[in-house]
Amino acid sequence: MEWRLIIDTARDAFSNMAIDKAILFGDVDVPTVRFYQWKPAAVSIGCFQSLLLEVDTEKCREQGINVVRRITGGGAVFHEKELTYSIVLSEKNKFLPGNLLASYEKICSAVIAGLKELGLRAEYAPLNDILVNGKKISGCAQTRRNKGILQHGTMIMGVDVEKMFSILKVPDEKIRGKMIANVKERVTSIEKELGSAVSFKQLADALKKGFEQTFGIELAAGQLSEKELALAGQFRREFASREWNYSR
Amino acid sequence: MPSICDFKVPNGKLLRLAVEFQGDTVRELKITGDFFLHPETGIELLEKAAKGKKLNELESAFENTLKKNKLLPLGFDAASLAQAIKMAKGAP
Repeated sequence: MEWRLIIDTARDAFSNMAIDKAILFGDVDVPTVRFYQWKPAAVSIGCFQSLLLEVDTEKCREQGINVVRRITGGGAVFHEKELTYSIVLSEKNKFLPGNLLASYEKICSAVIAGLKELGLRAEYAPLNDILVNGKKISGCAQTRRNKGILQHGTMIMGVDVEKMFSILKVPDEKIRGKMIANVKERVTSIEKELGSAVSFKQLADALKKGFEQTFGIELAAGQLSEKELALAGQFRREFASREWNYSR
Repeated sequence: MPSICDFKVPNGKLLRLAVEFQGDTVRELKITGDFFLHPETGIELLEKAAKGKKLNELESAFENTLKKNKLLPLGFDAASLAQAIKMAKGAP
């Protein structure tokens, strides 16, 4: 079977979240995989998080960093040097187990297969992480709406932990240094693990193979439909709105 | 003024609550954090379920709401949510 593959250009945070939602609220009968990046850099927060508690919005404004609330749960993510994937399927699809936890694992196994193409041995760490050498290299989040399933996740290509912590709030300023050290110990990147940088295209090619092998499908290059583009335009306004981003 | 409480669920996610009490009863509850809840709209049902409940009634109220509405929390459960509220109140 053929699935649609959208290799997107780098977009701002509001467009990226709007497009993922538009694919979910469009026609989900043809499964879609999308690879994308963020320009400018952005922080996304989980749909249940408090923006004011999690993000220093003033610093983000100063540095030109977008801030957006996702429609998926999970934690705050700083998007800079990464490839983000999203996968959208109908809830009635025959590729994923119906069980939510098992479906996370299945999608993560495609990502792990992609990393293997690059020579990295990765493992799934439930619920939503993938580790290489015991350190996080990818995180993801899933939602089920409109009879469809959306999972999006990050593939960390390089990470600047100091910059990340300059815009994320910590529960206690006294332990900021300790938290940075802790994250440096727990988080890695493809560049660090391979010893050299990979391009977006190299990573996208590897992930494409991972998804194709894992699901037994072929990913064929496609584009957003007129309907999806119209929905994305509408959703973008919502994602950029104060009402949505400060809703919790 | 709401009482604020951060509670890291053992082997789970971080619950960050804002709770207003009237004596031992919850008046208002806002649940935030890096957890998952399917479907996501269920968060308002959980917040509503706590209103007017005493500390010792919370766990069963959350349990009933989860069950009745077929909500699936990941990274917390009824017991840890009730425990976090008790912490916000300063109760053992």
